[in-house]
Amino acid sequence: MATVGCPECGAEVRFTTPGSVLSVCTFCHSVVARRGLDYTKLGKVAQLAEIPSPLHIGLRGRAHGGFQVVGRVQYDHGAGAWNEWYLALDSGRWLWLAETQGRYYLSMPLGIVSDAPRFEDVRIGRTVRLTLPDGEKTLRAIEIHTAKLVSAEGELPFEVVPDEPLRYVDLSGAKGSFGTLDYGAPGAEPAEVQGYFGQQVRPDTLQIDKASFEPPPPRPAKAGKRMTCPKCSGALELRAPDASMRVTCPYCRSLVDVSSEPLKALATLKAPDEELLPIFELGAKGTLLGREYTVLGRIRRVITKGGPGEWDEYLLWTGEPSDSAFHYLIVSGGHFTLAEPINYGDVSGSNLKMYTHQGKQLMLRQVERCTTKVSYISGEFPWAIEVGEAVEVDDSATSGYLLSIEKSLGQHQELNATLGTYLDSAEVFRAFKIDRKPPRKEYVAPHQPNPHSERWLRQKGVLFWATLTMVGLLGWSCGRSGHYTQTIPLRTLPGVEPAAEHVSISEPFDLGKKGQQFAVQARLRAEVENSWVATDISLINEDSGQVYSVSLEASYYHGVDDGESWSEGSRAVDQVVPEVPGGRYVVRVEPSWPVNQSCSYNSDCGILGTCFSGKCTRSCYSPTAATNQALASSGLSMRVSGLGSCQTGQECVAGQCVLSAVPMNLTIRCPTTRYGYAFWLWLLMAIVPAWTWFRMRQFEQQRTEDNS
Amino acid sequence: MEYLNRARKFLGWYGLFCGSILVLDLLIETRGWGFAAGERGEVPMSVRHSPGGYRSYHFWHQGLHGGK
Repeated sequence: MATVGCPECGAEVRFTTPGSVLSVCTFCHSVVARRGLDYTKLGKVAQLAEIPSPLHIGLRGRAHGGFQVVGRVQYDHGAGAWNEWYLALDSGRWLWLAETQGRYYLSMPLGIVSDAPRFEDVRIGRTVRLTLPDGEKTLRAIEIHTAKLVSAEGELPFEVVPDEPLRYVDLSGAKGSFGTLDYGAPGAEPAEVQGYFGQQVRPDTLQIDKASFEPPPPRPAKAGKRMTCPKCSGALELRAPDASMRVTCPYCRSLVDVSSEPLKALATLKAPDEELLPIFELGAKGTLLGREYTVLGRIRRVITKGGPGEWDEYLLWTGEPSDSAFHYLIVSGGHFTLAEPINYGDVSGSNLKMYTHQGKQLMLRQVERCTTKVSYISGEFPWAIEVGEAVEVDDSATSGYLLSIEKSLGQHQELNATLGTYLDSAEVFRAFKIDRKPPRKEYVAPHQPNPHSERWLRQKGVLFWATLTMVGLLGWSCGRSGHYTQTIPLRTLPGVEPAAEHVSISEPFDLGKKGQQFAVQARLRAEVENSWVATDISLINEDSGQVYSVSLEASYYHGVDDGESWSEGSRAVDQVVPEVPGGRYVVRVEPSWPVNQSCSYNSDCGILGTCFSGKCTRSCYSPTAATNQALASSGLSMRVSGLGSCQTGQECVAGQCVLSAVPMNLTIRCPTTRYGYAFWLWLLMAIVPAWTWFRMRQFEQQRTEDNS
Repeated sequence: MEYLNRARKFLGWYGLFCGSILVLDLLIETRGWGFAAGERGEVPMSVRHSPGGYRSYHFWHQGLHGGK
C-alpha cells in the first residue's frame, strides 16, 4: 500500500491495491495518478451524485475467489447517472460492477479489441463478436452513446480525465451475457477500443461479507419531503421518489426534472383532451399475474410512420427501486397487455423471433414495424421522458404474447425489449377495482389468444379418444355379430302369380338367449336380373306369440344406354328389427314376384315382345322332346330357337315368355353390429369440435384482416 | 350431482357429452336399441294352434312348405 499527500490539498491519498493507478482525494476530490514513482494530479471530479446503492468502498465479497470494492466512478450520458464499481480480486485481477437502476452487470476487462467495428459504423442491433479465453461470443449492440465521467471515489485501475467524453457501445448476448466496447474520447484510434465481457448478476451472487457491510446512511427521503413544482409551487407527490427522474405537475402541467435539486421545470405540457381520460388513476393499485403494482404514469404513443394508430401505456411499479421493477400496462383498441423488460440478447431471429419465457420457447412472428412518438404524458417516470420522444417499434406476436423491440431514435441510441402478456380486460378491471365495463375490443389483436383454440384442442383430444373407444366397441360387437344365424333358401315360381299358398313357415330355431334382447337383421339376397322380388317376413316368438314384421324388396336393373352401362338397385337388402327378445322363433315368409317383365313401351320388351298393361307379353314355342329331335334332324333347330325362344332371364311357360325362377336366400341373424347408428352418433360427437374449429378459423381470419 | 360436477370439471361438458354418446352406442350394441322397424303384433296361442291359423313345423311333426 502506498500513501501520498494530495498534490492539491496535502491530504492523505492511498493506493491500497497493486493494480490501482489512480486515486481520488476524499477531501478535495482531486484525481491523483500514479506514474511510476511520480504522483500527478489529473484534475478534479464533482461531488458524488446521490445514487442509492447497497455497495460501498471497502466492502468485501467471497465471489470469484474473494474481492474488495476499492473504487467507484459515476458516468452520466445526459439521461441519468450510474455507478461503476471497481472490484480488486484477491488473485490480483480486477472486475467492473456496473450498477444501473437496480441492475448489476459484472464484467472483466478483455484488453484491446483489435477487430472492433468503428464507432461510427456500429448500429443498434448489429452483431459484434468478442474473443474470450473460452471461445468467441456473439453479442448485439443495444446502446450506443457518449457519456461523461462526472465523479469518482477510491482507487481506479486506469487513468481517467474528469469531464472527458467517453464513447461506448453496450452489447447484449444470450442468457444475460453482457459486453461493453469502450471507444474512449472522440478521436481515439480504433485500435485502442477496450473490451469488457460479463454477465448480468444478482447482488446476492457476489456473496457479500456481512462483517464488512455498512448499511448506507439514511438518505433524505424524497417521499417524506414536500416537493413543490418550481413553476406553480403546487405540491408534487412522488410515489417512487428514489427512482423517478421526471414528474408532471398536476396543476400547471409542467414537466419537472426531479433527478437533482433544485427541481427544474423543463416544459409545459398541453392539457389532456377529454377523450384522453385515463382508465387507471395515478397511484391506483392492483394485482396482475400475482404481482402488486402501483400506477405511476401514463404515456400516449402515436404512430407517425407505418400506419395510423395510438395507444396508452401505463407505467406500473412493483415497489422496488430497480429498473426491472417498472412494467407497462399497454391499452390498445380495448386490449390489455402487461409488458416487462427482457434481455434483448436472449431474443434470436428476425422475422420469426425466438424467446424462452419461463422455460417455454416462444416463436413470435413479426406483425408490425412502425415509428411512434410520445404525444402525452402524465405522472412520474424513472427516465428522462419528454413529449415527442420517438422510437422505432418492431412487434412480433404469438398467442398470448407480444414481443416489442424498441429502438430509440435520436442521439441516444438504445434498444429495449419487452415481452407483453395478454390480459383479460375484465380481470384487469377487477384487479384495479374499477366498476365500469371494460372498453369494447375494436379489433382482434395480433397476440390475442384465440378463445376457441384451447377448447378446440381439448375437444379434439376428447373426440380422438371417443373415436378410438367407439371403434373398439364396434370391433367387439363385430366379433360377436351373427352368433345366431338362420338361412332360409327360397325360389320364385315362373309363370305363377304369387298367392297365399306360397306363404311358408320355417322350422323353429333359437335366436339369442332368453332374457336378453337383441337387434335382429333380416337379409334377403335374390339373383334378380332386371326384375324384383319382395317378401313380407314375420318373426314369430314361439313362446309369447309376439310378431316382428318387416318387408324386404330386392330389385336390380341394369342395361346399356347410348353406349354407357348403368345399373340401379341391389340384389341384397337388409333390415334390422330392434329390441327383439331372445327365444325360439319361426319365420313366416310371404314372397311376391313379378310373372312378366315390367315395361312402359314396346321397345322395353325386345324385338318380338309387346308391352301391354305395363307387362311384356311374348308368345313362345315350347317344343316337346320328340319335336326337338325331329327339328334337330331336319336342321331347323336354329330357326326354332330364333323365333320361338324367350330373352335371357325368361323361359317359356304355356306358350308365353315369363321371368325365370329366381333363387333367393333369407338370412336371419343376431346380434348384429349397428354401423349406421355408430356413424350417426360419431357425427353427432364430431359436430361440436367441427363447430369450434370453424369458429377458431373465423377468429383467425378476422385477425388476419384486422392486422393486414 | 357432486359426482357429475367432478366429472364435468375433469372432462368438460364435451367430454360428458361424448361419454353419454358412447354409453348410448354401447346400449344400442348390447341391448339392440333402435328406432322401431316394421310392425309389431301378437298372434295368440289360440290362433296359432287352431286349424287355418299359424302352424309351426313341430306342431304337425312333419315337413311343411307353406299353407294357410
